[in-house]
Amino acid sequence: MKTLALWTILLAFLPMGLAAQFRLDWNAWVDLELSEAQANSHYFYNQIHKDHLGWRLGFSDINLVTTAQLDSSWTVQVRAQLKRNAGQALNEFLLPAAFIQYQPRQQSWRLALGRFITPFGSFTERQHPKDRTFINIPLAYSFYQNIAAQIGFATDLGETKTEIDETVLWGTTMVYYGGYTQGLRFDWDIDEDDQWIWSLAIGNSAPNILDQAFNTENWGISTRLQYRPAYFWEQGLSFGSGSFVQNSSLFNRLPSNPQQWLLGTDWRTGIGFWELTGELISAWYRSPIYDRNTSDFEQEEVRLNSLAFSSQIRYETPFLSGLYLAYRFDIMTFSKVEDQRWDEQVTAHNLGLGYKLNRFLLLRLNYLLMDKSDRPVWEQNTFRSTLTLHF
Amino acid sequence: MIKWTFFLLIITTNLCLAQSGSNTIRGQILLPDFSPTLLQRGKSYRSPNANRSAEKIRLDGLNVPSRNIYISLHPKSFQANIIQKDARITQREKTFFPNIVAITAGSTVYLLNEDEHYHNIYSLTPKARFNIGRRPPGNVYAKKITKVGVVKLGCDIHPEMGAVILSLDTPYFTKIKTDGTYSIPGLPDGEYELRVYHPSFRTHREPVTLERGKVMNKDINLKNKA
Repeated sequence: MKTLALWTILLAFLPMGLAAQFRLDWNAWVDLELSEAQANSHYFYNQIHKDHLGWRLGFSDINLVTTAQLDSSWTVQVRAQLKRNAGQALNEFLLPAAFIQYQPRQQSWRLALGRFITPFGSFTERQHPKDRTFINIPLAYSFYQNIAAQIGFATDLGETKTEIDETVLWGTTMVYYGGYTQGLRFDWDIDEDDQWIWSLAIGNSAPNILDQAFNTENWGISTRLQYRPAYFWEQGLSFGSGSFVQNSSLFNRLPSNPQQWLLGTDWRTGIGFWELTGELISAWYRSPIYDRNTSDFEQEEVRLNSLAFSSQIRYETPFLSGLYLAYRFDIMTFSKVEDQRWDEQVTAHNLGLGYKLNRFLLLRLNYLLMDKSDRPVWEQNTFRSTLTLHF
Repeated sequence: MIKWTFFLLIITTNLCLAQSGSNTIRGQILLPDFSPTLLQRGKSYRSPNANRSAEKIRLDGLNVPSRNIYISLHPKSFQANIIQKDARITQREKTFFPNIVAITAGSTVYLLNEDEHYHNIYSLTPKARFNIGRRPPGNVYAKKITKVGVVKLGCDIHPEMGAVILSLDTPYFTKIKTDGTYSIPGLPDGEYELRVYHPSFRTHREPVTLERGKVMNKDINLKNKA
C-alpha cells in the first residue's frame, strides 16, 4: 500500500516536471544514535526497546522531504522516513506526509489535502531534530496509555501481553507521536502581523491514531488557534475529537468505536537567551472494555480521563553560539476507574544539551529520569545522544 | 622659465592624479536563466506555512536573486587604505532585508528587529560565531564583524530565515545595479583580483591590471553554480 502510494506520487511528479514553473526542493536528515537504558525500560515508556538496554550505536532515523512547487499557488510535499521499528531494527518505512496544498497568491489562507501535520498542539510542528530541544518526546506524544485502537480499554495493557491477530497491543499515545493525520487542512493567518493564526483539520482519525491512515471507520477533527498577546509570548489553544478504531478479528464484536476528545493549551515565551515553552493537554475517552480472561467485550462502556503537563526551559549560551542547555518536566496523571486500573502516574525529568557544530551537524545529549508509580523508582532512566546530519 | 616650470608642474600633477586614483572598471554581470532550478536544497521540512515569507522575498526588490551580486577589487600590488563603513540588516515579516550586505572588515552591522514579535540572530561561521539572543521589536544591536569572508546569519526562532554578510578586505566594491551593470571608479593603478560574489554561484576570481587612468570594460558571465 505504502509502496503503491510512493510510486503514485513519483509518477505524478513526472508530468508536473514538464511544467515551466516546476521546482523540487529537497531536504534530508540522518540520526546516528548512541543510547543506554535502565532495566525497566520499554519502548512504550521511554522509547528504548527492552532488548536494547545496553550501549547501542546505530542509525535510528533517516528522512527525505521533498516539496514540489508546481506553480505559484500549488505545492506537493512528501516525507519519506526509514526508522527503527518500535525501537528495534531500522526497517520501518513510512510516508508520514504526502499532501497537495493550494495557497492563492497574496492570500493568507491555505488548503491542503492528503496526509499532513496535525494542527493539534505545539509539538507536532517540530518534526525536524533542529526544532526539538530533546531527543525524548514529551509524554503526551510518546507514553502508551492502556487503550488500544483494536479493542479499546484493557487493564495493564502495557504490563500484560495482549495479542490480537498475532499483534501485541501496547495501547495508544494521547497524540500520535509522529504528529501526522490525514484529510483536509485549512490554515488562515487572520491578520497581517500573524498575531492570530487558525488551523483546522478534518480527517478520518482522532489525533491519537498511529496507523492505517485510510481506515474509513474513523473520523476526527483537530484545530488550533494561536494568539500572540505580546511580542515575547505565543499562546495556543487546541481541540481534537474523533474515533480511532482499527480493523482486527474482533472488529465485528466491538459494542462501539472508542472515542477521544482532547483539549490543550500551549505557550512559548522567552527573553534574551532564555526560552520557556510548555503544554497542558487533557484527554477524555469513551471506550469499550476488553476482558482478557473471556477474550470478549463487556456490555458497558467506560469513560476515562488523562492529563499531561510538559514544561521546558532552554538557555542558549551567549559565549558559545550554537550551544544550549535545557530541562523539561513532564507529568501524566490518570483518572480512577471503578474496579479497574486505568494507569499509574508517571513523571519524567529530561536534562539536555545541544550543540550545533556547523550548519549541517547537530549534536544532542539527553538524560531522562523517569518514575512510574507502579514500577521500581527510576528504572526507566535513559541516556540518549544523537548526531544529526542534515541538508 | 617660470612659464615652463609651471607647465611641467601641472603636467606632473595630472599624471600623479591619473596614476593614483582615476581608473574605472565597469561592465555587466551575465547570469544564466534565473528561473528556479528543477532540483535544489530548500526548506522542505518546514511547514508549508513558511511559503508566505518566501513569496515576500520574491516581491521585495532588496532580495531579488539577480540583484544579490557584489563585485569587489582586491589590490595585489599595494596596500589599500580600508575605511570602515557600517551597514544595517533588518528583520521584517520574518525575512532579512537585505539578505546580503557587503562591508569592509572591522565595520559594524546594525541588526534591527522591525517585526511585532521577537527575533534572534546567530552565526555558526567559524571565527565569526555569535548569538545575540532574542530581541524585542524595535531593538537595534550593533555587531562588529572582524572576520574577512562570508558570514552566514540565521534566526533560531524562524529557521526559514537566512542572510549573508560579505566582509571584505578592500574598500573597492559595489553592488550590481538593477540593469545588471556595475561601475567602480576611483581605483589607483595596480594589480588586482576581481571577485564576483553571488550566493548561488562559485565566487568568480580574475586578475586585472589597471593603469594610466583608463576605463576598463569587463563583462563577466557567471555560470559555475555553487
